[in-house]
Amino acid sequence: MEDSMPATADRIAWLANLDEGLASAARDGQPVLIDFSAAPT
Amino acid sequence: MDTVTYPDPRVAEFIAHHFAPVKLPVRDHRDLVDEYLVSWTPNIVIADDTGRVHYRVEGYLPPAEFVARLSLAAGKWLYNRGQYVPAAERFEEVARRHRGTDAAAEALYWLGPVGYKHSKDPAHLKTAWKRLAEECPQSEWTVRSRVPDV
Repeated sequence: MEDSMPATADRIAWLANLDEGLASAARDGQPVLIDFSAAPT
Repeated sequence: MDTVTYPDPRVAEFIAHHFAPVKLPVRDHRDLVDEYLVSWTPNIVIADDTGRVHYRVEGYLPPAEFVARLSLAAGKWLYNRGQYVPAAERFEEVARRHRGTDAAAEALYWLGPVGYKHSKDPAHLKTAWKRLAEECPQSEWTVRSRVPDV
């Protein structure tokens, strides 16, 4: 649940799956940043 | 990245303003790991809304260097979309704000092509790459700019 919390000045509002990221990018006209991480957060 | 770089307010703010951020644990997303050729982490891919890759950062970077790379990546995304004026502004900002870094050298390199693509004037290549050689003489990007007959 923490990953979907809104961004603050020192916290990134990570999306949990690529489809959400692609939809957000299309909606907002931004690129997607995909962080392939070694361990679940 | 999660310990030092992502918690840094400069990084969080830049990502919030410029990207849709997605975190994908590799062991839960084997199909995407294969599709995006992720063979090691950290591995940060900058893609468009269709999933096409525009830039990649492999390996750890501290906050200042990571922001420089993200800014450069945003410029490459604009450049690849044919948005040459904002792309040039982004490259110029990287070159100025992060002078002396590898990202600044790469930004100076791309100022040449983006100026040329926008104006069709090859003088932009000479101007940008002369500046690159002056400001970053030891960079591999300076070597890459030394094309015969340019």
